[in-house]
Amino acid sequence: MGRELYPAMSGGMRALRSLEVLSNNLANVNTTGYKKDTAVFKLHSPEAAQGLPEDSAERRLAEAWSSLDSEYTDFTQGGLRPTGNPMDLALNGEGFFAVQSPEGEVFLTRDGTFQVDAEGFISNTAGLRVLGANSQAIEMPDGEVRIDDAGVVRVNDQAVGTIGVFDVADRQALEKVGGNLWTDPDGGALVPAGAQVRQFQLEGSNVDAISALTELIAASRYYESFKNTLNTSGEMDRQLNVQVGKLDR
Amino acid sequence: MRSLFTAATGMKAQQLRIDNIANNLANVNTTGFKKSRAEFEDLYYQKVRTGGAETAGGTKRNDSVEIGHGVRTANLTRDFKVGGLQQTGRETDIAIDGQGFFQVQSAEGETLYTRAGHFGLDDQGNIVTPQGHQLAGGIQVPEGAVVAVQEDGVIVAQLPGEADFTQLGQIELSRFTNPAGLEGLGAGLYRETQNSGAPNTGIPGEQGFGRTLGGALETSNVDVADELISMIMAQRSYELTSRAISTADEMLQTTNQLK
Repeated sequence: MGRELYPAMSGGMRALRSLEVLSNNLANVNTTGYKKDTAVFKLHSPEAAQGLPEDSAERRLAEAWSSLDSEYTDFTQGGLRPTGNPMDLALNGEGFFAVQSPEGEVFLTRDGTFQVDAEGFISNTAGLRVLGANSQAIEMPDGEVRIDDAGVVRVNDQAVGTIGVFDVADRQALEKVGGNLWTDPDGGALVPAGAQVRQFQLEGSNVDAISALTELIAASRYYESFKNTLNTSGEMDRQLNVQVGKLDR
Repeated sequence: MRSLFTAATGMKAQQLRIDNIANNLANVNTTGFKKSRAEFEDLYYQKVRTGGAETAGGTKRNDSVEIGHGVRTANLTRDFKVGGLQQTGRETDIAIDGQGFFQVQSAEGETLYTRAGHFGLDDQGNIVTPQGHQLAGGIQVPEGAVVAVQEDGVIVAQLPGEADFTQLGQIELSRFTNPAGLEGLGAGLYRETQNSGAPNTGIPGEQGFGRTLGGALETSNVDVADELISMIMAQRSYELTSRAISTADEMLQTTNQLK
């Protein structure tokens, strides 16, 4: 077997990794505020390809070897759907809600399934308190809740706070931690963002069925061609064993 | 092959969603029923690689890789939106038009809360739910009396042979900071929990409490059209996730055919 196998193997691994990421996207097709991921691959060693003659077999081999590089999260807007619940909020545009754990850790989320907790603060389904624009939790008196596009919360026409909409300098640096939450490993400062807050609505997942299915089929086909390359290579080796050494007949 | 399990979590989530829709639809005619909604969240992510590799220029790259493990149910949130009102003409039927719960006492003396106001009388003239839980307030209806409920919760009765109504007592309503945190016990009954907060009690029609309407019942707040749309979405999502499983299966098969 020759070295042509290794690029093929890297293609097979790539198909498997893509499938893992795709499966997670598909499982979250109905998760509020979910943003789909894409596995990103890079040439394994671009340096190795440098200096090799263009169009040579060696160069093509060096360039064909790829490995998992990073993960790209697509932050495009998901569809908004009305729910009729006054504590359901959706973001339309760029930014995140910020929620805080009892230990003071701040997470970002696009899932605005909020409620008023037993102590009267706005919190998410996991009980993490939602931060206002002033980075403080918002305490809610009893009464009819109205939240406008700017996030100003009014209870019985009395403003009680503003829902904070924040962003970070580099969104791709955010890490998903489950529970529809992101955390910023660098702990960078939150800056105000421009998304509109929509009351009585939730933002759906941005996974779309057509591209997800197409990518599924593609991953499966890539994997098959990896198999075919392997089989062809094996066949060539067999031919080699059979034919080399036979003189003219 | 992690994809198989990841996709399976998606199918389980949709199955639970269907289960919940089935329960909502089954209770489309249940007095005072409150529908629930399944909320999902993504599961934990496995960090395949920590980011921050240095580039040739000395800057850090965002090359961390986290692979997700699917989805799980975050919550089944009960929606306490007020249902429709239905006139029944039955004198001990009481509907709450707005916020609040009736307080009832179980046989063990525990206070429970309900919005299903199809009350009746027991053999001593107490106002009770169909399960025999007594409406708080200790109101007893004399034999043969004609009962009426006023909007402020006052229950009056016209005794046989008398022209005037006498006041028997007043119903109070309870309200919770977080009603979604109440524990549902079935039969339209709820129990206070830490999550719901302590009840605030008040007089019907005052301070945001709903009015009490006699001779009426609150219908279920299930909207059949909404539920059917959710059902279609759940079914399609189920199919979609199952495709990920069959793709993973095909690829495993391919692996087995390698030679």
